[in-house]
Amino acid sequence: MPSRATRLFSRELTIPLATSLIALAAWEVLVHAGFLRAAFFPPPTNIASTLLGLAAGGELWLHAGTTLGRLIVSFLMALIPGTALGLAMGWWIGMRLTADPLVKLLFPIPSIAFFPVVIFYLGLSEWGLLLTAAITPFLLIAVQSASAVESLERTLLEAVLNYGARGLRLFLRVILPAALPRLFIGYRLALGVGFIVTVAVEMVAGKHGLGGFLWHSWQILRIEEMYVGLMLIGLLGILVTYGLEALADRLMPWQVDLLRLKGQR
Amino acid sequence: MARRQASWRVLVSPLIVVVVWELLSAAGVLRPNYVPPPSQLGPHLLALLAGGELWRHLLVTLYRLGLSFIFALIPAVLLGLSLGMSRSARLALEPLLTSLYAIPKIALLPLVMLVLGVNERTLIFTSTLTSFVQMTVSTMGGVLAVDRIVLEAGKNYGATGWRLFRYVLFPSALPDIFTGMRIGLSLTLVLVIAVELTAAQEGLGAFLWTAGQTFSAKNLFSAFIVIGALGLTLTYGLERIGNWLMPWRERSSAAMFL
Repeated sequence: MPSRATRLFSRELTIPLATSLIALAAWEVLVHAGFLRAAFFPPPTNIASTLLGLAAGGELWLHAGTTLGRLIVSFLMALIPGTALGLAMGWWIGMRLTADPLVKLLFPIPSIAFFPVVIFYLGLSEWGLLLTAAITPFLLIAVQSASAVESLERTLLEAVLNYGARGLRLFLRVILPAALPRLFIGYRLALGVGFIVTVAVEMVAGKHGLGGFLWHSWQILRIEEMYVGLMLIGLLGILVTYGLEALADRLMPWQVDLLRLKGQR
Repeated sequence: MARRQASWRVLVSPLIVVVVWELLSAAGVLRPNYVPPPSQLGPHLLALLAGGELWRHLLVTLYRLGLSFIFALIPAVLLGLSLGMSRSARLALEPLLTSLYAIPKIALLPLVMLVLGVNERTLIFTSTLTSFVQMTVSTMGGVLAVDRIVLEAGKNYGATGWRLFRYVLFPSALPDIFTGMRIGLSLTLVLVIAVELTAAQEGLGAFLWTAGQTFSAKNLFSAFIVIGALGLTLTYGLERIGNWLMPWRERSSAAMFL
């Protein structure tokens, strides 16, 4: 029923678009009418022109690039060892008995609390920021990767073992593809947490990065710039939250349902 | 996979870590000014707790966490239920909810401070917002995930309106609502600690930050242990309560953090 599909599609597009535009227009009007204080809520047109002005210079891009770079590096710092540890925990019972209690003990600790401890040893350095942003994602990925291997189907494993799959072949051809959808759940969650910690740490410590830019523009009361910072953080957040999901949909179209986080749709 | 480990085994590797830590300190590899040995840390933590100082900070943090949770709970569940049941409302609020969900709520702190001033209200409001967004989205997701077949069956048996909601829809969505509460609390704890690090004089985060800045390794570790214990209690304690309250819900390891 293509006609019904198009109608649904258009409604799904028009209603959110209309409400956003109405909200922005109302904001603009209320400020000019004097109901909203321009000092707190500068009209959207002013924010837009500030954004254009900043975008013309290089500084804003430097901040955005810094945050994005930190996010990517800290995510890789979590992804590679986290996946390795998690897969090992899922495969070898001895590894699980050793590492699992430690990982499960550490991962519920509020991620940002690691920051003062890390900078106590590393100082306010770039490595301190990156390490802080990598810790909780690392633990999350390890837990999720372990459970990905544990939930593999026994019959599947028995079958391929009987067919003589061993070592690297077993890992690359069977375990990894079968565990991938669940690994992705861990990656998504980890990326989200990593982003929160990165921004928080930048606000506390960094002169650079979008978090630092946001905090600085608040301190010198450049309100329009503060909104620009907030907007860019929001855009990056949307990219982080929904981008990996879209990527997973493309890579593993057969696993769409599993990848939808409960409670997000 | 219900492969339960014997409970004592869980303690083995943390205990080994503590013993190795202590031995390395005794051998002089770890300097007590940087990494205090457990034998000194334990009494120090107890003294801080007995002296009341750490309790005060813990209570301040708990108060902030609890208040923001309570403020957020009822509006979030009501809004989440309505959004789950009404398609137009969902579409209308989607842009707002999507962006609020994706923004780290700590980034809203400067804006809230600008409007409300730098005070306790700001902190509570930002925390409330964190809980609110998470619980709204989870509740909405819970309603949307209710099995069509269950819903149809309920209708065929004559449940409509309030009865359909009370006996079919709500119990089905309850596990997700509860998960939302738990994640909401965990995220709010992260936020409260983060705000206390940046902009507060009291609370566990402020105590932790001061300890780090004054190079007091013992205070730093003590505060970290208390914050960690709080995080553990919220995550595992609430999971237990949820399993006990709602025996019909599925237990999966992924649901631990979702």
